[in-house]
Amino acid sequence: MAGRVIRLTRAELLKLVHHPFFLAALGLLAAATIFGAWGQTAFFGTKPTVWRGPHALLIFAWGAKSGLKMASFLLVIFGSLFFAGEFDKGTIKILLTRPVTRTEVFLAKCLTGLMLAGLLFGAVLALSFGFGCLRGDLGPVWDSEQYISTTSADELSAHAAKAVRLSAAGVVAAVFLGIAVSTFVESSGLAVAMALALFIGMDLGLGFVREDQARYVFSWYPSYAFEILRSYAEGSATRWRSTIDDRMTWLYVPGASAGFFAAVGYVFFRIKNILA
Amino acid sequence: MVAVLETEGLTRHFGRIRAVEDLNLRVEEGDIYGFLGLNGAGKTTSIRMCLRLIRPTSGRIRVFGQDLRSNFISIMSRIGALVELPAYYPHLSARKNLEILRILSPGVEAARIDEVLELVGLGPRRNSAVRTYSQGMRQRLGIAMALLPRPRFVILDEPTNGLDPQGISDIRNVLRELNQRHGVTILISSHLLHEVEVTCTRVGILKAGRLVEQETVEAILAKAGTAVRIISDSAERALAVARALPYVQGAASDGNGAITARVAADKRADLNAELVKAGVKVSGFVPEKTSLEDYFLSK
Repeated sequence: MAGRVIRLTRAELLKLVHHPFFLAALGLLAAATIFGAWGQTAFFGTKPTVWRGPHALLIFAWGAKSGLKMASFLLVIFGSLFFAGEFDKGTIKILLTRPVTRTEVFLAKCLTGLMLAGLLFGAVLALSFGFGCLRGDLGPVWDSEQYISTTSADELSAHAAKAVRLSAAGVVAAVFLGIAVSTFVESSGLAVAMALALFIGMDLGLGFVREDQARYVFSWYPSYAFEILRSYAEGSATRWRSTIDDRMTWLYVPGASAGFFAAVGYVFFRIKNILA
Repeated sequence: MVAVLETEGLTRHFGRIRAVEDLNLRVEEGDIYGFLGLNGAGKTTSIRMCLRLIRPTSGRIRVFGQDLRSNFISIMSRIGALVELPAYYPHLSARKNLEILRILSPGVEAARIDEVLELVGLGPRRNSAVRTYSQGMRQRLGIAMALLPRPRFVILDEPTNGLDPQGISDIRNVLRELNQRHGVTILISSHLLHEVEVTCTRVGILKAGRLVEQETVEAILAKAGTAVRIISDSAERALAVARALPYVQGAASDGNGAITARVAADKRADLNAELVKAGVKVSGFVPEKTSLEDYFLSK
């Protein structure tokens, strides 16, 4: 079974990198990341300090926050195309008339989704960090008026690592949302529209819930994590919410969401009659 | 004879619609089996069930003597299929499309891709994006996809759709060669009855989801007998006389004052005598060969 899943995943990756939207997606991701990092400083300025320019991790946080938002949207779109795109073109018949089972096809698609999520996540972090280092300074965060360091470089690095850790699962859950929708909607356009509407609806819905309730929505974590990192890097008074750390909701909520989406998608795909 | 594909009581209902009912299909090793039926007769649904794309409501499917459900991987590694319209990734070339399929088919070497593309006549356009292909070229690609894994059993649903006469002849030759030189068993679903007659060794005729005939083409043509075109002073009376005779297997007016009656060669003289005895003045009595099409339409 493992061998067949690996072969299927190879085929999926081949299809993915040749997908007409793939390069456009990478371009959009880079643009969103750079624009987030550069645009925030250019248009809104930074907290004034007489001692230095913006901190590199501040620019990194802006870039990552904006880039990961775009990455989540792109993952929802690609996830929605994984099955619906095959139904649309009828190529699902080709896959399922080869010596592979539906479970293996589903696992390969999920694995490809995880790899894509890893690629986009890594690309955003690398790009925003690289841009941050080019345009800002590393080291401790200095007080804006007195020549004292408010946060050491080591502390700030730990906060950055935590922000990255807190964001990862939320991004992964986005791709599974797309996959779940694409198993029961056979038109790729409709699948993308439905999945995006759900995802955007969740994002908008966050504005209407109390802050302590927002932690139950997986798409909240990347924005939250990099907003806190931004505050630390800016020297503002802030702290991580203990409820998130103590209960590890940053892992459980997106993890459970991804698991739920995967289960729904798998059941739909298993019982589906292929009439494409 | 060993059955390559055998179904027992295969049934599929879509709500109240009985798409396929109690289908007992038997495709023997070495057959080129023609699967015939009007649109909506249940051919594609049957084929989809035989490939587990659709779950049957009831019934059993055995392929190469094994139960399809419990031996799916082993069976599918020996099957090539083209179901209804050919499916492909339009932004990729034919080579890349086949490369994806090759990855999914263990034991198929890269050189096989060019081999099948040459076989179906797509060699010169192998690197063009499939979206730039004509309908006929796409159909050829679909056939190449079915043949890529060197299958022992090929299922082709309407393989000559969209092909020009040269293309139809080329594909017919490819299928015959596969069958005769490499012993590949082939099931073809088609509307082109002449093609089926000249290509297939056995046929199954599906009507409203039920198999109404399953025989060798030779036996069907022999059973159909030969037809006689009768020109007389009264087509109505000639028709009534012919239809009343037990050895006449079917008679119909052609609308031009003549009738066509299906009758064995040794009974033609008797039919003529009966017509004369009934007072019908026969001015023309022309024997004609009955085709599979005539037989199919009379079912």
